[in-house]
Amino acid sequence: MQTLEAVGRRGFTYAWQMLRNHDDALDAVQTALTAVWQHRRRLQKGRDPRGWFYRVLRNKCVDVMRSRRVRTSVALEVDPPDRTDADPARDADRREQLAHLRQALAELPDEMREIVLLRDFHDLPYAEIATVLDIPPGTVMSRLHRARLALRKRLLAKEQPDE
Amino acid sequence: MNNCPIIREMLSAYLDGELTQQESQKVTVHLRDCDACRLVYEDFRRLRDDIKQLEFPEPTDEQWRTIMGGFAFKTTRGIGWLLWVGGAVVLVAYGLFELIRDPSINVIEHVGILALILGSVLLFLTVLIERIGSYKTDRYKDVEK
Ligand SMILES: [Zn+2]
Repeated sequence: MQTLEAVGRRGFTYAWQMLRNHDDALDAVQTALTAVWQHRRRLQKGRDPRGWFYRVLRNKCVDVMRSRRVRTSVALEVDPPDRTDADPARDADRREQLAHLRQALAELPDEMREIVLLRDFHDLPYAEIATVLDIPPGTVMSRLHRARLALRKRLLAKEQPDE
Repeated sequence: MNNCPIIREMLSAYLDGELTQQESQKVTVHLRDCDACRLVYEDFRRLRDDIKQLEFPEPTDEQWRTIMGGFAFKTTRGIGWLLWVGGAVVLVAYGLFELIRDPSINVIEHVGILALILGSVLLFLTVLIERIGSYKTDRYKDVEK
């Protein structure tokens, strides 16, 4: 199992991906970690501590987003620059590819972007994604598939705009 | 090939290693012969590999320490307090005992030392009551969310 530190740091990134704000993400992670810590005994009996932590964290993020509709002055941060190869010739191509991917991701509906990131970025198995999103494992499979198809479609449109 | 639609539905789970061995076998065989499905599969794989490479913010070490300090050290802090309080109680009790017992200490010294002890106890109680108060609000904060 991963250490609490590794899971927590990754969790911060998950929170940031939803909230796009450093301070709000820190706040959400701290709340979620506290909740996990308080229930650690109950948690040891369960099988899926990371899934549970992500779920608590996600619920907190959803709360924050809901409260933002009232409190509007949140500065949304932009994506950090991507690390690229040392080779400058390949570098430009690669940067453009990743930029397209980011745009395509950003254009996806929240629900689709989230499940793709949980799987492909955070590397969660379907059972854990089901825990995090509180949906049946079968739904994970179909929703993820639709999300990837949608992402692929958008990405192809950016890469071959004439077709 | 006519079972392309069925295979397509499984490609995502195939990539993620979430199919049964039998299903997985079926997809492998199909991909060997079907260019169209293989293209989709390759695209899914490229998406996954590229997404893994994207950079997203992480907490700085200092921010991380603040987060951990916020909850993980509640236990050690609790033990620390307990030891401190226990030690203080023993010392004060012993001091009072000695004060009463020792005949060589005169009245002024008695009064002075008693005032010091009483003052310390009062100060300590004040801090303790404040702590209990903030602990209650902490708990309330958790319940509220
Ligand atoms: Zn096919």
